[in-house]
Amino acid sequence: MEVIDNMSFGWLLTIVGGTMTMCSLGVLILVVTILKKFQN
Amino acid sequence: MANVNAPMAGKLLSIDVKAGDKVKKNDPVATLEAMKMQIKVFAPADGTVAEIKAEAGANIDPSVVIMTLE
Amino acid sequence: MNEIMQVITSNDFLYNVFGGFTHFGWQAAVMLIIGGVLIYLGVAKDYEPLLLVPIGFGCILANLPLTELIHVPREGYVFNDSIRELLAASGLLPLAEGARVVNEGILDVLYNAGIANELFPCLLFIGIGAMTDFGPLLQNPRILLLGGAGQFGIFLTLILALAIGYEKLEAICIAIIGACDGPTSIFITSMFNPALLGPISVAAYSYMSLVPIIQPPVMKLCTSKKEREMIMSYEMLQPVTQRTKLLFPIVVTIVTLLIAPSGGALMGTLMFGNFLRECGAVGRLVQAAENEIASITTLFLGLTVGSTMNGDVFLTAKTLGIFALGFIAICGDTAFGVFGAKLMNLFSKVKINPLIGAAGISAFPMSARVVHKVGNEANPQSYLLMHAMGVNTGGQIGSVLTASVMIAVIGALQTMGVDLTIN
Repeated sequence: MEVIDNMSFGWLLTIVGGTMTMCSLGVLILVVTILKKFQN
Repeated sequence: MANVNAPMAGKLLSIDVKAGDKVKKNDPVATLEAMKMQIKVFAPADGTVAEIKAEAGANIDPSVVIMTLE
Repeated sequence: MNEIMQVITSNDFLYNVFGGFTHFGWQAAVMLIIGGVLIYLGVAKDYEPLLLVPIGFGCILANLPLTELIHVPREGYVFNDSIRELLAASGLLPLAEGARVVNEGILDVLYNAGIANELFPCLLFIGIGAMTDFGPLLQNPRILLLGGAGQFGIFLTLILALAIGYEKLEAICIAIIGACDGPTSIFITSMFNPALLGPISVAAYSYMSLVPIIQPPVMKLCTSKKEREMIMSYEMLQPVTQRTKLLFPIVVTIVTLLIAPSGGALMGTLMFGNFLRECGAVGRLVQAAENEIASITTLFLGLTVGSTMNGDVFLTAKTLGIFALGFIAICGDTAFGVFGAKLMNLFSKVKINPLIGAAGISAFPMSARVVHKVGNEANPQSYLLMHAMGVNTGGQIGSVLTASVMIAVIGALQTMGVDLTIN
């Protein structure tokens, strides 16, 4: 079983988690903007 | 001469001044309820209340003039 | 007659008959006081009474000795379930060393029915979704980014918790207090480290109710008076139609669950609740979700979570650390939100008041009201409420999204065979 150091685990989660969260929000903004184009 | 518009959509709870009252800039002139929060509407300029145009209890939005000052 | 006297006066008999007193230790006493304080805060001070009252009462119930109401989530108990007993008797299922065979208490039943499998937080999410109007957010969708920025207190706390020596799965649960969202905290904690449910949910709910006190100083520290005075007009908001509001929850569900499938329970229930609200065809279900179901779930959730606050688990230095880190998490959220808004201003033509960034947390609608008040204090002509509401609902999406992404990343690590268990 692989072992990962506590701090590297923290940074890994921060970097990957933070990026993924912000990117998903970016995608959502894009999708909402497109949705709003079609509302009229 | 200045219009006091509703700052945001909501329900006008009360108007706290009468026509003819003198108000200073940033005096509270009306109370609005939005998102279950009571919000004071403040006068945008010094002046005297000329005419009250909205009624308490009405639903208002930023296009509605609550009162005019001069 | 003689025999009766003999039994009555024997020490063993007295010890067991008055077991409630003889088993009452100092830890139980402290926990009863803590339970009392939580009830007091709820009843007299009106801090999240809907949760703190059941939690406080659950805490009192669980810490009176010998009530046998709850045994989980602690280790070392085997339920007196007949099949297991038979298996154990025939040597097929060795009982864990030193484990006591007990009958399931009523709170064990509630715990296993709704906390161990994360059902109760998800039922609450349906209600939260049904109560939330994403209209202000949809009018200005780019403020969704602030709802993400406001979650970075979670990561700050995660790093801090690991740095001062908490184990990986403990640190995750502590950090999630920064989501500023009770159900999310309980969901993550029961998933990764149920032993910490008591301290974490109490910290999460008490800091949520303290948002109006914690946030303003941090907001003022992070902004200049000039920045706070900025007026945001409502003209930049384009109205949205009902059709957009109706499609929004469906689209969010599909997009976010493609990215983080393991967040399905949280995001799915939140958006389902919102869809019920916006589709306009199921008024009765909306009523039930936001009133009856939410109330019943809150009651059971609070009582059960409170009863996990057993003295020998709760009264440790860890709990103090959790409270300290939880506080940092919420201050961090506020600061990151404000700086996130300043960062957005650098790149965009339409400027926003950096204060609204502070509403990028899940504490709805307290946080938006706080933002409005601080802005209105700085400049009476400034009405930030609706903008802040938009950011605040964005914060709800942000916190659920962050939690889902964290579950996904941890799940990926576990599938790869990385050892995350607590030593």
